Amino acid sequence: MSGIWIIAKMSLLENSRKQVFHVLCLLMLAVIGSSTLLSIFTEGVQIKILKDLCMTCILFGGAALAIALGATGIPNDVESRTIHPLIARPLTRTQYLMGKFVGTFITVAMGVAAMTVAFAALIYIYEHRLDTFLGMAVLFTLLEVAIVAAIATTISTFASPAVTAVVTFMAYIAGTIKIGYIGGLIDKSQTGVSKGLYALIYHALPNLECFNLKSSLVHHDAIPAAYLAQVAIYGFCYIAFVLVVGASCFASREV
Amino acid sequence: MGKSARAVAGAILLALPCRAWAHGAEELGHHWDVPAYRAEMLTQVVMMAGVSALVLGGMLVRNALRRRKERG
Repeated sequence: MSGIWIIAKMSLLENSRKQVFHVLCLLMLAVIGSSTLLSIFTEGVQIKILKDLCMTCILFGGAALAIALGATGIPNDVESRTIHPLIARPLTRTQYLMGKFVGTFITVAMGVAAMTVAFAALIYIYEHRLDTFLGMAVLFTLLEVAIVAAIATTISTFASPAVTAVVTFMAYIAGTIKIGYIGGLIDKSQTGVSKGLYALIYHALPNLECFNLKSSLVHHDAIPAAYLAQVAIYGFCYIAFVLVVGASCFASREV
Repeated sequence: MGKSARAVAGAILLALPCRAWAHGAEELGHHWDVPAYRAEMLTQVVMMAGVSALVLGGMLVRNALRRRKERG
């Protein structure tokens, strides 16, 4: 455990110095701040649009950070050869991979926390109270971001940063529209081979839409606790599975 | 806005092709009300557990065979 934590701290320091982290955080904060300019709408609709826009910003910003940081962590270490003294120490490759994932996730969580503070301040200004739904929505956003970071970390064990970023982004988009659109492709496909291929892709993709509780925050709709528990368990299982796949890929790789 | 203007606007909105783009009535609701989301999550968890059990079983069999070979 201490090995994982040491790598995570190192990864956190390395990631927090990257320009992409600062640029993306500032960009998302600017979008959240500028959402107050939506004063052309009436009061009731304005706060709903503000919540919708800010939550989308946090979701997209968190995913973009997870992709950008997760895709570059391990390949940069391999390229700069800083991985050699690390894996020569009493540290397994699985611990190294887990440390990289935890470091990436903590860095992204810091960015998401900054965006959430700005968003909560805006809600407080408009509604003169803090929204209790916000905490829950952001927690599930963090779980979604952790899945994206796990996918990026796993793909980065065998692919270049550019390929990792593109494939992870495609998986993120496809995972978001999975039930509504890719599910329809399976029903429409004619041949058994294409149906099987679509079904394989469909079941391998993460079901990211279920982590999006934006509409609950906007409309204050109650969500069944059993559903939330199922989504949380599903998220943790998916992260664990993807990281185990990544660890087995990284174990057999020449560095 | 007058009643006739509202009726015209309503008729235009109903005639728009937007309704045809919607996949189904259930997809217009929240995802926690749609059974397909729960079913897919359950299917994926079962599949992940199945794949993990298969891989672990394979590893155990491989180790057992290797030990038997070493003894023999």
